[in-house]
Amino acid sequence: MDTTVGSIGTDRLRIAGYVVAGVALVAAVGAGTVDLPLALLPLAVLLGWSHLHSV
Amino acid sequence: MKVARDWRTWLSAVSLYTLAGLVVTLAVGAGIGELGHVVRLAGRPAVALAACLAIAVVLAARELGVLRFRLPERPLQTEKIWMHQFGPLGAATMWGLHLSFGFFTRVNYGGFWVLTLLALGLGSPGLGALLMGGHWLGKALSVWVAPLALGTSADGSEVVGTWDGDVRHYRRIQALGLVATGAVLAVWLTALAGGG
Repeated sequence: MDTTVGSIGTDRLRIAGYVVAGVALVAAVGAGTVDLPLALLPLAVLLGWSHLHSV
Repeated sequence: MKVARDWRTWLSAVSLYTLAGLVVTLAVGAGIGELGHVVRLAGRPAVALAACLAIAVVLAARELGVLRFRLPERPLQTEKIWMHQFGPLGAATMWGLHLSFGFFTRVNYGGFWVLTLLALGLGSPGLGALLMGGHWLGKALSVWVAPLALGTSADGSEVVGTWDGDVRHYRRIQALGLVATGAVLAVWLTALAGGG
């Protein structure tokens, strides 16, 4: 893999990870105020996010 | 994830991958919840919540490198040969079916086990389906986002190579998810203790 492309890709995916984490945390707080167990749904999505290299 | 170069084929393949996996994870999550109900774990939510809270903390410490131990897993991966045998759409569907089970492939991070134990311990098929389905959507989301983030119709080796090169970042994200999950469980326990 080209090092430059790899570095750019890593940076973009890292930013995507922060966005996913931020959205999941905000959604968890919002869902938790409606129904506490629902707060676990966005967190489940966040926990699944890291799993690509299980493939 | 193995990504087809043609974007329409890629879109169809990733859609099939996501939907196939979602069907499986909803069924598996509901089944785990039903199993917990049948073996009468559902009547003691405080015990399940406390146990899963402790496990979430231990697993978060593992992701941050404070503790070191192996997670239960079968160290298997999907069959790349399916691409040649079944074409991109058939292979994507089969990869979705295979990977979404979770119990038959590698488990690199602890979140999967916390959600599985929560589904079992709370004995709720509905919540089990929600948790396992949500976990799958997060897993599939990474496949949707990766080529966009890379700005190419990247092939699998580039995506996975990029991911593998930044393991510490993903471990920190996983730890954040586990700590947040632990916080929700702590609030839930507090509400139960207060009669809520």
